[in-house]
Amino acid sequence: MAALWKTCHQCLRYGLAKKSIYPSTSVINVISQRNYKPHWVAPTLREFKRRKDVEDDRNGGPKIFHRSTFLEWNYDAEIFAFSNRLGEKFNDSTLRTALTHKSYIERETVRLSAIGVDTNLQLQDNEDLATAGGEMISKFVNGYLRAVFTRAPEELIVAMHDFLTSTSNLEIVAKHIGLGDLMLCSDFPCKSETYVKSFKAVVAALAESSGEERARIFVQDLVVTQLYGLDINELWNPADPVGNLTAILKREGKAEPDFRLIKQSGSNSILAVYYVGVYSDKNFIAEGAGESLEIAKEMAAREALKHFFHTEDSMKALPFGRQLKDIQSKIAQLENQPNLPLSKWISDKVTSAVH
Amino acid sequence: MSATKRVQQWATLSRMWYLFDAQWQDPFRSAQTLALYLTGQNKPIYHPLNDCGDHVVVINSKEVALRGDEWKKRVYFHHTGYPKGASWTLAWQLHEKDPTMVMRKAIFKAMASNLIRRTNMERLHIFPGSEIPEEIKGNISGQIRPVMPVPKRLTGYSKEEIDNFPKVFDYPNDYILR
Amino acid sequence: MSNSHLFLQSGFIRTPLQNGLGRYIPQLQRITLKFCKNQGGSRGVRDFIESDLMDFAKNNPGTVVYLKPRRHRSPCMVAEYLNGEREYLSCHEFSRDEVHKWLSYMCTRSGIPVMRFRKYQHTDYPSIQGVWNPFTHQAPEINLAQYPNDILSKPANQGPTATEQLIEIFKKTQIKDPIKPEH
Repeated sequence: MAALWKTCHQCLRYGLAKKSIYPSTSVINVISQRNYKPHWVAPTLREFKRRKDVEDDRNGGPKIFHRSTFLEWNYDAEIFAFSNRLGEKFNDSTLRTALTHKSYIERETVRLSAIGVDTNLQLQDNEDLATAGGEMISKFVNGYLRAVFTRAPEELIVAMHDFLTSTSNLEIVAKHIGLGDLMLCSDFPCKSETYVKSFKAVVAALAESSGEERARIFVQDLVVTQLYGLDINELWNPADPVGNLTAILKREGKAEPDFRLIKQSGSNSILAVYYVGVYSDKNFIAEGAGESLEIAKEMAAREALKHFFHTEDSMKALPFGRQLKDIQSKIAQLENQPNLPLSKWISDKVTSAVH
Repeated sequence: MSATKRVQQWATLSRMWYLFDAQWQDPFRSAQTLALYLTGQNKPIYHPLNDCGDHVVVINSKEVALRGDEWKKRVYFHHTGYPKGASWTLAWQLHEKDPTMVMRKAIFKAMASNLIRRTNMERLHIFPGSEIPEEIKGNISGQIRPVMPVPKRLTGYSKEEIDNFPKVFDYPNDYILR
Repeated sequence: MSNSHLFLQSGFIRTPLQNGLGRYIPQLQRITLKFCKNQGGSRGVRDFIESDLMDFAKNNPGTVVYLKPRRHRSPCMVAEYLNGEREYLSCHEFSRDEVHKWLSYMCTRSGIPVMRFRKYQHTDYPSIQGVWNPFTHQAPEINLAQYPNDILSKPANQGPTATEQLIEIFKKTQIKDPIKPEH
């Protein structure tokens, strides 16, 4: 055993001495020499690997440690850096509350009572903050979407809102602002719900510390920006585009949509493609392609509806950051003022223009 | 994948069916153009790994025009692989045997020699006359312009047009035209 | 056995969490400087800590700086980024300036592993005017064309032939009859 330990030690030293992060640069003046490894290196490393694999198999994967178990860990410094990193001013105790989960307090209480220490912990959990934060995020996101997509029907707004406030999206945001190491919770690796709850609580804590205005900007900067690069028309499409288009054109006092086959290729082959154009009063509105006439017709109707909702591919880029300065008050107004739903679009008098 | 994305891809990568009239065209010059269409090199989305070649339907291949005395001098070589298996066929002989072969070989030669050459050649449909099967005719969605102008035959002009054509002088009545 | 670790990974330029679109968040969340108090290899790191570290910490309040003295070991810095990546850099026999340089390098990185860019630009919106298809830029009158088409059966950009030019010259040189009204 002692011999093996010695070999291990040798091996470790050998590994460290040879370790270099940089690729070796070729220097002309250096006389090259043969770099051979002693006989014992390969079998020893192999044995290490085997033992590690056995251990990993037994534990179901390599062992991971929470960052706070490291020697170099200072929670106070981390909290300080967290708020500075985000450029926000947090009330220290509120932020700490926002990061403390109920499960953590329960676990600590049990742990302390087990070793016979007074269990009166001066900790508050983030349940209330998370609930308040969730509502706030939802409100801010809705306000932004309604202010930017003024003509989109409420169904589309709801679809975008659901995407932005989904667990998967908020989890990504929470991870990328460094909440993973700061959360005090009993589950490790942390669950998605824990991330989301912490993020919601942080938003509420920010509103409590610096005011709702800052919290709104925070949500716009971190959550709403996830909409960038996404085709919003993929999130929601009207169920019956042809029927809806007909109804909208009728309500505007225009002729029924006229679908015409404008281009086609390979009609007798399996790779047929058809282009259908939508015309109303002999005016071209939009065109759609498809592998069959029905699909092309539906896609054309969808394209036409995009023109009405101002969500076509060539729409203006979404405003973010400083560009939102002028419309912040408008966003705040529209938070509780839904857009028109599609049913109203069809029936009521809505001013819209065909391009 | 959403319907919009799917349809957009379908449209971008859709195959066109081009018609090409080989009437009195140089097959070797035409082949340079047709090879581009068959391999998809006329498209902005072209990439060697991108299968975007189009179909080309060539009509009137019987009427191709070779330059000078090429019908007599151009030789197509074939070897069966067995001893004494070599054969040399003159262009006019080959054309008599199969009127699509001169055009087909010209296009095959115009395409780069690689593994997809024969796949691309499968998209070439050559017909000796001007008749196209209905099934293929229904697919056609474009036409490739000929590489050289097709002159009009004298028989293509009406009597009136010939009479009104400007003349420098009149032949005397007793002049015998050979 | 795969060789994937031997070569630089390739990918497209990107940023974590659309950073900078709303606000800029420095991505370096903490950095640990490990050094020895005695050995000469750590000299530059020690000098840096003595003279420049406070300024660095003040200028980067979003980054937690840890110092970890350890006996008779080569110095290194370990940077941890918000996207969960961790980067190790040996600082053996670095001068004070070199430490400063590498620290600012670590500071300004996004944490995404160094990779070979397949392209030096990237966009999430490839086209606003619609993606090209074989019918793009096609004249609308072609939609109704029957094939073979008369116009498309002639070579493009074809000038007038010699015969046509002669006829044109002939027409110009014709003497107009002053009595007969022109049609």
